[in-house]
Amino acid sequence: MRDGLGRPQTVLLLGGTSQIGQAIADQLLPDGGTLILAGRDPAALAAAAERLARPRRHVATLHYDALAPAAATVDLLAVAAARHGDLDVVVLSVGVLADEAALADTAAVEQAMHTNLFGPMLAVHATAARLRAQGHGTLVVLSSVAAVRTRDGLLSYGVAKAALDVYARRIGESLRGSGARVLVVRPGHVRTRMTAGLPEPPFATNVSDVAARVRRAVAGRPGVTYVPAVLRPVMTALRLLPAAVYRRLDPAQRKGATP
Amino acid sequence: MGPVVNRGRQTLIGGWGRATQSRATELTPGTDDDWAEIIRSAGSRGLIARGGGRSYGDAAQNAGGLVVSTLADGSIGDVDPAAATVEVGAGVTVGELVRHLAPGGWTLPVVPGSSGVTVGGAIAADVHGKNHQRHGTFGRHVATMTVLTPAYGMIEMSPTVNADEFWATVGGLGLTGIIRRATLRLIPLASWWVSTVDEEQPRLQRVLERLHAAAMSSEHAVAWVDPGGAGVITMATTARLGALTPSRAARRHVTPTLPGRGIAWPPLTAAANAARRAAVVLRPRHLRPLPDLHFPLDTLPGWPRLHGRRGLIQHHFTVPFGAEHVLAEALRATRAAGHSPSLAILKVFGAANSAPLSFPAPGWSLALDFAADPALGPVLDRLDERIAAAGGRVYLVKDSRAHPDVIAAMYPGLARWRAVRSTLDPDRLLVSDLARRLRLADQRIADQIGASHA
Ligand SMILES: Cc1cc2nc3c(=O)[nH]c(=O)nc-3n(C[C@H](O)[C@H](O)[C@H](O)COP(=O)(O)OP(=O)(O)OC[C@H]3O[C@@H](n4cnc5c(N)ncnc54)[C@H](O)[C@@H]3O)c2cc1C
Ligand SMILES: NC(=O)c1ccc[n+]([C@@H]2O[C@H](COP(=O)([O-])OP(=O)(O)OC[C@H]3O[C@@H](n4cnc5c(N)ncnc54)[C@H](OP(=O)(O)O)[C@@H]3O)[C@@H](O)[C@H]2O)c1
Repeated sequence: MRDGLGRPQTVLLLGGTSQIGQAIADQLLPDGGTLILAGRDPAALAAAAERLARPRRHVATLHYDALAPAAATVDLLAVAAARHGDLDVVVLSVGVLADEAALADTAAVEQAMHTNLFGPMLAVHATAARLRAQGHGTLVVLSSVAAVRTRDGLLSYGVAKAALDVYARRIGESLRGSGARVLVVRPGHVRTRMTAGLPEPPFATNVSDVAARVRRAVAGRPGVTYVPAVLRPVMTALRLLPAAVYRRLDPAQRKGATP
Repeated sequence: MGPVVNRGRQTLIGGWGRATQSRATELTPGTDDDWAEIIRSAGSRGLIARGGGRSYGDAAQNAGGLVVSTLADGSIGDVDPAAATVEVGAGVTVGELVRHLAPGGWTLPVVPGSSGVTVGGAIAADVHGKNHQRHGTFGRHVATMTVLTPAYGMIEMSPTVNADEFWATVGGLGLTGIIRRATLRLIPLASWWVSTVDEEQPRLQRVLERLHAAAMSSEHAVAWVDPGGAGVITMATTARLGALTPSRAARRHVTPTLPGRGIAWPPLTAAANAARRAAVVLRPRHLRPLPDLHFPLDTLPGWPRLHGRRGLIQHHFTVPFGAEHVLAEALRATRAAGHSPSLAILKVFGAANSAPLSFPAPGWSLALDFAADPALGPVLDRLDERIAAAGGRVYLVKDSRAHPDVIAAMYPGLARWRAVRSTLDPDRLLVSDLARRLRLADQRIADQIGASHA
């Protein structure tokens, strides 16, 4: 349960090795609680668990693979709750960034879409059902500004994020009145291993900026939040531009600089 | 006919402090059959009893489940003058009882600080008054009670019959069963009026000395301290004026929701405290009707709203005699962090009883009200560690933010209580937000997981 000071007690991170996800979890549980890291690489999860443990913060790990069948995700949530109690916040931070040019064969597109859209969508569905039954809890979904304006260089990624973004927001609306909610987070370029080596566009941020903003948004009510905040008006303006003008304005976009 | 458990209709249910809330289905059963049907049909999110809703935090909330009001049974039986007892429904409030009993020359030995507290809530939290050294807690005066338990249905409990179950239910926070009726022991009342004397002291050390002396010499004793440690001791004795007829209830003041931290904003708190001390110097003696002594905050039902949008949390703890430094530190640390309490109330506790989760134990009791600002978290967490190290504990029914492991250290009887609890409610139907947050009932599962990983 969240306490009288608004502090969550149990946080589940789907994508337990995600740098953005870990920073968010770290800020959501500053004074203790239980953090569950769910992911597919046991060694990396164990190392992260050790790094994130604090005197009053227990860190546990569970297996999660976005490519696994839906039932595995449903089970994962049930096991997490049975072992650690109600899930106050679930952070969905799974994703791979693939340059469209690298998705040459169709199977690669399938794999990318499974990781970025299909798996996360199932996770949103399963988590929403659980939080609804709990009568409380927040699902934080890592979308991207790419969901608002899709770049040619990151077409599959952008389409996946756009679809996930719509799906998560609609599920969030359907949760109204249940005590549970969904928060969609749309970061711009964040300096993580995902973006390492890519040219930096304007408004690049660090994981701590994303985490601070998510912490505030989780404490409040918004359904969508941008990081940094200035990207909200920027993206609104960009979205209104005709595609041809957008291409000319943004020479970097074909290189896929912003996930 | 049982009530329809309509799960579609969930409402937001909060604590008295307005800092906690969650959605649940609220029901108000009338008959035994209604209750039985609710127990049968409680789903996986379980149910919790709710009395007057005067808990500061989440003790009477149950997210996603059922919150079952006991208010339909507010019956008061005839006083048995030979035994000095009265049988009442769990939903009757202490305020109603005190008024009802007075004309016959009787009263409750233990009365908590809000008239809206029900008998069920008073037993479930094992509440205390301003006279713990004399009369102990509310549970001490329960001769017998009828409790609806998931495992055995309605059973009688008393200190002699089903004694373990009785003491697990006293202070059991609604997690062992639903108290339906209780027979309470009474004490004679000589007057509806009490004489009070207020005494100002400039330093915490002196406040404690004088409060301790007052607790020995007067019927009721309580002190209010400001963040700097200065304070006012109030002692009360029954007035010689023998009138037993209750006076009219005091006027209630309407209060707005203040912006920001409201009254907990330090300059406002300081001004209010200075005004209070000045009033004591001007007029130290009063003749008051009983409710004014018992229920001072009743005239300000909007007290939580005065703490701003986020509401109010209370941190109420006790430490043994000799650990006075923890009291001083509580005031100093919160003040240093810029979060002085808007109200700080000191009392003296006498001997503890046999209930594993009962709060009072010999020593000092300090209740601190704060605006529910997240920045308080680490400050109060650190304070809890000092309290536990000093052999003290926080008051569970008022809690809204403690850590489960600290609670386990503060209540060594927790394991014993869990053992009795699990026989009364093996399927864990009885559960509250507070029970989940503090992991009060979960130990079995936690142990199993611990064992399987060992
Ligand atoms: C202004 C104010 C002053 C206070 N002063 C004092 C004080 O001086 N001393 C003190 O000890 N406390 C004090 N309290 C706290 C209060 O006495 C307790 O929180 C008490 O439990 C509230 O009773 P309630 O009927 O409002 O119960 P609720 O708040 O509705 O419920 C409290 C707990 O009791 C359980 N419960 C309620 N009814 C039943 C039942 N029939 N069967 C089983 N479980 C039940 C609930 O499940 C819950 O766990 C004060 C509170 C306020 C707001
Ligand atoms: N970085 C940015 O600039 C940026 C901007 C906007 C949005 N985002 C989004 O933010 C989220 C987190 O990104 P990040 O920057 O923190 O990158 P990251 O550290 O690479 O995190 C991505 C996570 O996805 C996990 N993952 C990939 N495939 C998986 C699968 N099949 N099953 C389970 N987990 C899988 C990875 O686990 P492994 O360690 O096992 O690979 C990793 O934990 C992503 O959704 C990303 O799209 C990032």
